[in-house]
Amino acid sequence: MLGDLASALAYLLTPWPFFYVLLGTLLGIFVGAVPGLTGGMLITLTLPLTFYMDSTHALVLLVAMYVGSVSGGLISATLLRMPGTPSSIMTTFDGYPMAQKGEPERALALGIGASLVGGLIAGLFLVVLSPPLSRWAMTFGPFEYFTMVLMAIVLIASISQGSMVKGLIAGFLGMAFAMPGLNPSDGQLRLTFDIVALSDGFKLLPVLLGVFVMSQIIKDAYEIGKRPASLRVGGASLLIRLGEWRKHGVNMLRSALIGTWIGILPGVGASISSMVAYITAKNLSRTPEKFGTGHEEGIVASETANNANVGGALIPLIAMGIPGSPIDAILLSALILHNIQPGPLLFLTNGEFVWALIAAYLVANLLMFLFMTLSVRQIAKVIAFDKAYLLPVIFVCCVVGAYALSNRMYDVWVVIGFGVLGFFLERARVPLGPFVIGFVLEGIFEAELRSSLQMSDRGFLGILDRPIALTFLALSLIMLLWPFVQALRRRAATGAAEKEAS
Amino acid sequence: MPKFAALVLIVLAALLVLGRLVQAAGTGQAERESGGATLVALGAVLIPIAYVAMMQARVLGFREATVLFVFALGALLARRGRKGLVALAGLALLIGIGFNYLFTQVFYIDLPRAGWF
Repeated sequence: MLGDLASALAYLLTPWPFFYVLLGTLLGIFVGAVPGLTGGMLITLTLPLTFYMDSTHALVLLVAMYVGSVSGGLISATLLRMPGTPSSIMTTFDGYPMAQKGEPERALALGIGASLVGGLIAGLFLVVLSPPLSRWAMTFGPFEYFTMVLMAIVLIASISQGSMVKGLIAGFLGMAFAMPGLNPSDGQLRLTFDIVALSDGFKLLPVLLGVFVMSQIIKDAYEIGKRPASLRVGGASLLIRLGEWRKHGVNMLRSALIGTWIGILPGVGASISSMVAYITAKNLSRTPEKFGTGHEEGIVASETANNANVGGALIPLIAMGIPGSPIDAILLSALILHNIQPGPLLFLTNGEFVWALIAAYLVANLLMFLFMTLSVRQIAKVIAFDKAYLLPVIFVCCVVGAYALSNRMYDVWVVIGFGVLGFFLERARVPLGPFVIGFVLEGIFEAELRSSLQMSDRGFLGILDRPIALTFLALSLIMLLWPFVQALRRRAATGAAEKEAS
Repeated sequence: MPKFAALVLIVLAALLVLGRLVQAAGTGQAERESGGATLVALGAVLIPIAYVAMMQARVLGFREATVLFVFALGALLARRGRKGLVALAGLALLIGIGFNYLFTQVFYIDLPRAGWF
């Protein structure tokens, strides 16, 4: 294992791979720092350009973008009180107040240091856990895969912000949009409504471009007048002193573990990690009342967890072919588009490729730390720029990316259609994460369900002989029913309190 | 499978509508959006539609349509003075001609051309 990692690191230090990690990290940080441009947007837009690249270079570039974009979000969260990327929402609560108090350098230094620690601790888990997890996943049959995908969709729906019903709607809507076209089980066309172009269904890339990029363009246009004023970064040091590392050590370790664990859970993204880590840090703090007023512990918890989430979320993607977060769903699509079969066999069939991805993740974290520390002052000056000139160019890139897929305008219309749908879903507070996960996983979900039913003599009851699948199913049911149980308990408690009062 | 997904969606949508009805009865009016922002967002959908439709109908090729599109959407979003419009026109020409060259000559993508070309 260590030998594989060492040779992957040596490979990454050769000119081209290193150039792609560097480029990806820099672009990621910049895009992450600009409110209204997200990591998902950057990675989806870059995806069609990578068709012309070596597949390892392509994925190395995309992973570095992922790391950079999650880290860059802290700059605008601290200086503009606007999360540059959704995962840094929690950083705004303490980063901005601290910057307002005249300590923006300190807030940024804490955030950058915490991001590095979170990234590296999750990296350690990525290296140690991925190989055994993939070996374990090799024992999975169709029932296990089917229930695992079900669990992923229920999990992301139940944990995503807002109501669980909306999360489930998003997940099932995503699945429904993946169904038109050729039915893989009987070779017949379905849900095409006599539209010839639909016989091919909705292709992955145009849908991702629509949901991640076009909907963001409409959203940015809707909010184009809101240009926040950026706080200035002074000349104070952007490095944390040794004593402070020690002071925040426990918080960093705890938040990194939370981030990594939530990352490993299929489907759940970095925003949830930083939220859980922040709330945990607040509950365990000796000074919880200081949270939200520019407290160091808040910044450290949020930034450690969101970066740790990236490493954690790569674990199920690499080991089992199940995306750990919505951005990992784009990376999964990248693997498929580059003809690399994701799944537990990836370590056996493409071992060098997998280790190169893991090494790219680690190197990108180190480069992120270096680059953020050295150039955060310069980035801070440009993040509040007027996006009026950028949005049309981004759409042109979308058009070319979608059109180049099959040289047809239909795919470009799909981009626009899903962009409008994504915009309205977000306005209705229906989360887009479950939508993307549902769309990407529907193929596996359906295929594995059919295989399970074909293999089993007792139909669905065959699951009773599969303890792992049964556990996944039970967990899905518990997660699905838990909010209702909680609501009933709350109602019973308030009823009892009212009775007592009267 | 599609029937199952449709059924689940219908049940969930009914749950959502029911929840919203109960909520509306309790809280009253919903917040209103500003008209200007809605118009800009509508423009950000209609201008791309016009751009793609023009290329599909082969009225304009990628190069010409892109120049017009970048200028039109940029002008809608920027709402700046004459100086800004000149810069925008420069950007539109650069993107239209530059992207056309890049994608057709370097990446060999057969981008749409005008019918009369």
